Amino acid sequence: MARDPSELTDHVVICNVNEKVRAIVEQLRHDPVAGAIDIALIVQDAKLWEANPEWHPPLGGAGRVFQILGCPAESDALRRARIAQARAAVILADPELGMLADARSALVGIAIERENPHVHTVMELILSVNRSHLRATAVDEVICLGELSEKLLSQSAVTPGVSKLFAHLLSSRSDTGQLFVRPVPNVLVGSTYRELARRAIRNDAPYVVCGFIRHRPRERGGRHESIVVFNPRVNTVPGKDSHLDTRDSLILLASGPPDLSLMDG
Amino acid sequence: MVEHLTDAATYPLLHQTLLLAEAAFTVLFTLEYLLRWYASPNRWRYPFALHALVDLIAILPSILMFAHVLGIGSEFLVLRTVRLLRTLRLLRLLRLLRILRHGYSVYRLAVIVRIWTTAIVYQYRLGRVARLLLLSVLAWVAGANVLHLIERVSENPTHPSPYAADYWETYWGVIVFIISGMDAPEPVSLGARVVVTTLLVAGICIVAVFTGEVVSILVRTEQRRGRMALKPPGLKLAEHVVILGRNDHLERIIHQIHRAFGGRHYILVVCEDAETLPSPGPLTHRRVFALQGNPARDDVLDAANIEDARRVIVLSGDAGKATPSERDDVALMHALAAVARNRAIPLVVELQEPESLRYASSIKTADCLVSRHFGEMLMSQSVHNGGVAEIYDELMTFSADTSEFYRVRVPSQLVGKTFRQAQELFLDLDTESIVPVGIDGPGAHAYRDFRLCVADGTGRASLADHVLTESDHLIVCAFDRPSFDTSKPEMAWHEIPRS
Repeated sequence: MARDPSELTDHVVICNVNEKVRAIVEQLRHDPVAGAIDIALIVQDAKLWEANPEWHPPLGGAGRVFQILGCPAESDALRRARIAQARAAVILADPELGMLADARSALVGIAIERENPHVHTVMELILSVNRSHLRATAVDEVICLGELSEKLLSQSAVTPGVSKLFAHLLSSRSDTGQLFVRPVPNVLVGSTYRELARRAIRNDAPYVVCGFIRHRPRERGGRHESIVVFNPRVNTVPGKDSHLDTRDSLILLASGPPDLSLMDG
Repeated sequence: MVEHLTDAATYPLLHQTLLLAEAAFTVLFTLEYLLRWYASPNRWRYPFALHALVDLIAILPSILMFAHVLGIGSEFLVLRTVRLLRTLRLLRLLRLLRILRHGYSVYRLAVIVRIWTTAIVYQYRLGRVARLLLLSVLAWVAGANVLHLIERVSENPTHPSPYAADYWETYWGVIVFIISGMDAPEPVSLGARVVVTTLLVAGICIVAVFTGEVVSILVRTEQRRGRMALKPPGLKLAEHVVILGRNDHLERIIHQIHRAFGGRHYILVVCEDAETLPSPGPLTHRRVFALQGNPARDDVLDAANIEDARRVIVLSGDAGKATPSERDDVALMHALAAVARNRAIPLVVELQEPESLRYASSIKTADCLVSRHFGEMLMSQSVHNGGVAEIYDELMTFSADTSEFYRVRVPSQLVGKTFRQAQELFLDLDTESIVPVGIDGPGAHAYRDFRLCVADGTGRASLADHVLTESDHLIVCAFDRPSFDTSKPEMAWHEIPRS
């Protein structure tokens, strides 16, 4: 594993290590859609890391992995991981803290925000009750395994087999469909969801326009609020016939990076 | 329905009112019959359909009655006079056949009432209270009769007994003896006094037991307040969802399942600490029962009636002292026990370790989920596509405001059309929001051979020109099951495929 991350840029910083780190690193390094990505791994507890070799990502392959020893809530470790140049940060739950890991993860999120307010932050949450508290922080996406488990079990119980569809969509393999979120290009600004979806169908675009995300500043506080409009309806605002602007993003189902120019004209 | 069986001469106003009501209902049902005929897809066949015949038989007697009243065809009817009219009146009872139209609703209502009453009887121990009341009544009747008999046999003219003279007075006397014993006249004979004394002692015992029983019910009700209702021992659920084991996810899974099935199916939670399970909340409380016991035991699975269940969800145990592998072992054992009793039942098994999937693959009907695996994939995708975590959260949540995936048969109007045409049709549909994303094969096994409308090897949408057939299933995103999926109400209990 490489130890000198001074040249890193547009990479992903992973804070903390647990049993999920190996799979996440593997998927990021070998993502056929996004290409090979360099990863900076901030390890707080070196003993724990060494005691669990099964967590270590395999050597070689696409994308480099840099290991940084230090506390991810401290500026020093984050700077060494070049958080200012990173494209995204993944905050994993510290396994040493058990059910109390969310508090430490939130602190790490705040520290990352202080170092680089523009980095996209994904956080693993242990207790779903803490989700609401994280709205006040800079964490962009919160993934709670407990909630995910509940929802997947319910979905599979109601519709047997649907977990295969979700697994297919979540897989990063090049032959599977994925959900992509892409900003509305300038040439498409002013169009409605209905118009864009129709153009995609008629121009034989190899993707399905599923909806859009509306990003708007909150009334209080400087952070943005996102409204996911998946499968827009007619009688709601924003809806099927709402005009999209540059702050909106399209949700597309595709097997590779979607070519939005197919919806132009 | 109104039956005007009143005598016109005695109650002219009532007779008139009921007659008018009957006329109104007859007109209403006739109109309904004609409208259904008009709206039917095949008007030639409609009158011979079973439900149409039932409707016709139901309204015909009334129409004939009114025809007679109005003098239409009177010659024919007068010949048969009163006898025929009476026959016609009886024929009107055939209107009850209209219930057959709502047979499914009646059946469902009957099932709900049966389960509700059984639960109430068990919760408040009404069976024991009823037995106690029956015993009291038997003691009362027997005591009164014995008292009356003895007093009558040993009647002394110088000291007449009130219990010998009046049979019904004896019943009243026994009641007074049992309750107060103060104001009732004394029996005269020794035998009767012995009977009364016995009754007094028995009365004291019965009242004490009854009071104890009521107090015990009140205490138990108070103790179980805020807890999940326990399944009555004799109650056999059917078409229910069984959850084996418990962990922190239980309550939210119950809510999701309840919402997804619209509250139609009962949910039974089987675990060793069922007594302490909290109530899932007022909205779902009446549809959820808990069953105490080890889910791997035969007698417990017997009580859960897993043979008639619709779905089984196996939860891994709480993350306590057990390791993830040990939790998986227990979950797999529970899954095997369920499959041993019902090989065809679809199972969903929650596992912790991806390695456990090797063992789980031997259970053919099981859908084994390692949520950690999904979490890892979702985290990786979230890095590249900001917002996907929220999108998946929406897609996996059952609620009126979120879309879910549905696998539905191709509607008849789309058979022979291309997938592209179907996409455009749904895009222009404003009554409901539906986005078709792919198709699934004709087999009963859902999502085994599905294809999404994304690029194939040539870079084109592979499905766009696919001509839809009757055997295809569309995979759509919708807020609710699409309305074109015209399943009959009778099928509501069977809308989930068994395999």
